Amino acid sequence: MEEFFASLYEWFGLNPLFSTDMGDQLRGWDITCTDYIGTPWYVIIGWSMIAVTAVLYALQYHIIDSSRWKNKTHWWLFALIIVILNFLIAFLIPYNSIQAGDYCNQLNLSVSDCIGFGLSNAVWSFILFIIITTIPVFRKLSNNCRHTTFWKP
Amino acid sequence: MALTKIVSTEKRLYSQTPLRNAVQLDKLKKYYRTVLIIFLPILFLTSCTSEFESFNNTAFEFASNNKRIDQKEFETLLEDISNSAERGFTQFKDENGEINNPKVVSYLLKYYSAKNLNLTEVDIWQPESLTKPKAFNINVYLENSASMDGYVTGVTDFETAIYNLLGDFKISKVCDSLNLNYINNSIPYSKKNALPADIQDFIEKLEPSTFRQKGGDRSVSDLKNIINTVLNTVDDQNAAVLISDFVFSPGKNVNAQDYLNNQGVGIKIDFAEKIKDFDLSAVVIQLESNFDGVYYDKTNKSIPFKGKRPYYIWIFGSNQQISSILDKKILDNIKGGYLNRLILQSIKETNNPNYKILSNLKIGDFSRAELNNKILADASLSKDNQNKGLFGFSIAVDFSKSSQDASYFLDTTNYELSNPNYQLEVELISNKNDASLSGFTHLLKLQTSDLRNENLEIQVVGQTPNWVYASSSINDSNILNEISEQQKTFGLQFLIEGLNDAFYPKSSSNAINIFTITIKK
Repeated sequence: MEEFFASLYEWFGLNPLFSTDMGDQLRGWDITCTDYIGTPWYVIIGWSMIAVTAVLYALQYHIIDSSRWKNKTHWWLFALIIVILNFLIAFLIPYNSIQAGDYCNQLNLSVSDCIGFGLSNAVWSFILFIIITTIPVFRKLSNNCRHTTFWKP
Repeated sequence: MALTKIVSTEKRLYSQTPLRNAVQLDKLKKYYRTVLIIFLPILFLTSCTSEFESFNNTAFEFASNNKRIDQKEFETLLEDISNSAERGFTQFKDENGEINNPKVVSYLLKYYSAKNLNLTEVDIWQPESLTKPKAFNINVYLENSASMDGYVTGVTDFETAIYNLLGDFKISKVCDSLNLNYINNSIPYSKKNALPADIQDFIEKLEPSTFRQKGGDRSVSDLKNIINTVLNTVDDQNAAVLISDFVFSPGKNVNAQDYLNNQGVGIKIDFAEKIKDFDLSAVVIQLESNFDGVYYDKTNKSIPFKGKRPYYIWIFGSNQQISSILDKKILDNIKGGYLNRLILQSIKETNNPNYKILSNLKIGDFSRAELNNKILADASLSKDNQNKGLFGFSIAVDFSKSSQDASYFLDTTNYELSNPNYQLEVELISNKNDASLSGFTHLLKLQTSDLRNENLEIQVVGQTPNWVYASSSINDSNILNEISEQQKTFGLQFLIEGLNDAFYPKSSSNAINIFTITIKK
């Protein structure tokens, strides 16, 4: 699972938005600089991204599920909330670690790494939201938003 | 009025029909679904804390309370380790799955250091070793040939150091019985199971007149025979301490070089025979004292000399006996200190101290992914202008458990590399606040321009250290005029080489420690 999320956030090695040191920190390179035995942030943040996106999807499509919240404008509003929340989660967790000095001191981590990781998480949550709202299998269970996608109605 | 009646009738009917129940059930389902959707992921996320993370948190809590880990807390941590098979805990276990307490302590110290909790080893409770070292007799042999008179004329550093050493042996728990002896070509004097008063008497009577009075043949120092006599007393119950200037006396009309060679070979054979059937260890300490007496040169010519002269304390015993003496820091506490130390142990098996590859001190690049398995993956040469075409990495090693002096590991001539194209630099780790270096004593820096896929083997080999050559003389006839000669010992090199060749024969690898690093391009 760790490698799955790692390759996701590192964009399959093509263009990671953060340094390899940040990648090692997120893989769980521990505070004593010994091995990948620290907190596996890639996995935790990966699952939290899926959970947050799923909750907000459920909120719009199945809980609120109102005819007043079925337009594409509302879809984009929820998408914005999802993107912001996921950016903040992925930015704040490593940022707090850096501020607290809670990482291996051999790693060169900076705020731009945190921003890069936050952006990666935000983009993936956006892609996930598009996927789960585009394929009809989930949204057809909704009463009022069964036709709501990012391009209609 | 009629309309109101109709509405209230509808309400009454509605409340009495199953429709009401259906709507309520639908609402309940919706609430239930909301709760599930929101709280399940939260529950899932909160359960993501790994057992190792939880172990770290517990350890942190324990230490932050009172800056120490007591028995109960340590045992709780051990229980956490034994109950989990998570990857983080494997570093504390050996091949059989048994917990290695020193590894736990070492990790905790590193972790606390990273968390800015300044705990030391004494702050962490540790179970006492089940195998308590057995006490043994210590037989002290003081050479009383005429060449030693200068060390005992008046009050000298020699007497102070020996008194201090004997006192420490006596009060140490490792010493069962302390036996004092004079030795030359025989053992002319012996005091068994010396009490503190006997030690005092022994030291106070250290004068040339007493040496003469105790007798024996004081005219020559046949070191080979003296060493052999002492060596034969060593067994599981008895360790031996030999104190002498270790100056060979070839005598007149003898080829000094031949004599030294023969003595060296003889000493080597004696030690090699002993090592064959005994787990022998030896410690050689070089000390210095004021000397006022007659110096006998290689032709046995007497030269009156006053000044500083080196002398030596040799300790022989089993590995366990020598380790007990070293652990008690008895030699480190000798008054006035010592100049140099050499420890020789028969190599039954190479022990490998804890070491790790550092991920930041590097030239070029490599991946951290397999560092813990001592593999440098994706290794590549440096592209920056300063180190272009070079590849380098550093290893932190913990030599603290080694009985050898820390300075032995600083000498790069004591290392052998499987790829000679690597350059090695060794330095002591002085930064005690760096958590990543915590628990390590030496930094080995390796660098090469010949980067290839290989298993790089770094061996620390047992060999005669450089201080022996610097302290050895082959011609002492002009000792009065040559100041550097006054600090040397005639034939020392042959003596120590003989000893060294017995412990570390040139025909075998003589590796004390081996580190293997796999390099993959």
